[in-house]
Amino acid sequence: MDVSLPSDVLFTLGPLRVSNAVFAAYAITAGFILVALAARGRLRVVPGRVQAAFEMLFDFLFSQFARAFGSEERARRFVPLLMSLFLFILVANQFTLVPFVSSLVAEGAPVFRTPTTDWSGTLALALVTIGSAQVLSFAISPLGHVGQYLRLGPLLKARSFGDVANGLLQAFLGLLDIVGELAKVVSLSARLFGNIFAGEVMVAVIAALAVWTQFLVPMPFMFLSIFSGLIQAFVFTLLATQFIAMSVASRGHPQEASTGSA
Amino acid sequence: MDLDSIKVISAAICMGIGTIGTAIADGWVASKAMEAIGRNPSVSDKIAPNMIVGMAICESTAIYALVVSLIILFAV
Repeated sequence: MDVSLPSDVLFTLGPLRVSNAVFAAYAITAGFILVALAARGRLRVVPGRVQAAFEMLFDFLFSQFARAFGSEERARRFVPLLMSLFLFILVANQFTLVPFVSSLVAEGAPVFRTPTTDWSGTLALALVTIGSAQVLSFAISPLGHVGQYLRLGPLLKARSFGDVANGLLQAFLGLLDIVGELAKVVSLSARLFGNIFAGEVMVAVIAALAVWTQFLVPMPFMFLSIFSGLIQAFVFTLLATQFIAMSVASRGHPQEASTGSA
Repeated sequence: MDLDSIKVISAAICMGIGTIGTAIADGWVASKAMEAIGRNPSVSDKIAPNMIVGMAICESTAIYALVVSLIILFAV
């Protein structure tokens, strides 16, 4: 049983080290582009089977987005980001289930590795999500966004000793919100990484227990990891929706923006 | 004890203690969701996604414990 937390470097492109997880992510992205180009000319008003399946998926997710953002027009602007997050994670989680993909080996290292079992990959997704939420919030109201973290207002308006204490507390809570944003990045990425990586490790452990557990016995565990991969793609997208919707909705009254969940 | 056995024991303790709260929370979320569906079955398709998201958030503590123990086992 060989389990490695960092992914193996396949080759280097100048300063960039392309690991097998990144290579798999490139492959998935290329596949998406090809599918999108192929599907472009074939969209019909009366959908075929594949188109109907995608439309059902889109409708389901879009209703979730619309509920989070409060209106359909506002949600429509964020659909490209959120849908591509969802589709990428959905496909990436199940990528090594494609036959022969996981048995390709170059120079001792597998060529493909599930992109979400590399913490750098999920960290990049989480940074894009939280970063875009921060940038959007800043673009909508710069002062309100900064004031959300540097809460000096109550301290400057203080009239009595109790007000000063309250203002100091508010300033401290504002600084804690900065830590909260960083914790969001860590929790969002660690959740996806931990779930998918644990699924793969569990299958590997079961397969390495004895000779007869290599066949059929890992199947329920593979089923479990497939299921958790689907759920995690959904959860990541919904949490990203919530974070972005929160930063968009907090326009004008930043104090009401709740810091959100862990 | 040598370092390897300390690693294994600490990873086991990390997982064992770290998942207690998560187990309780997951069960709580599921039971409350079932209760709500039982009261009003017509909204079950609205409750189910919310329940899954809530469970995933409850599970994040266990996932942190898992990540920490994976780092203890394979990276340290």
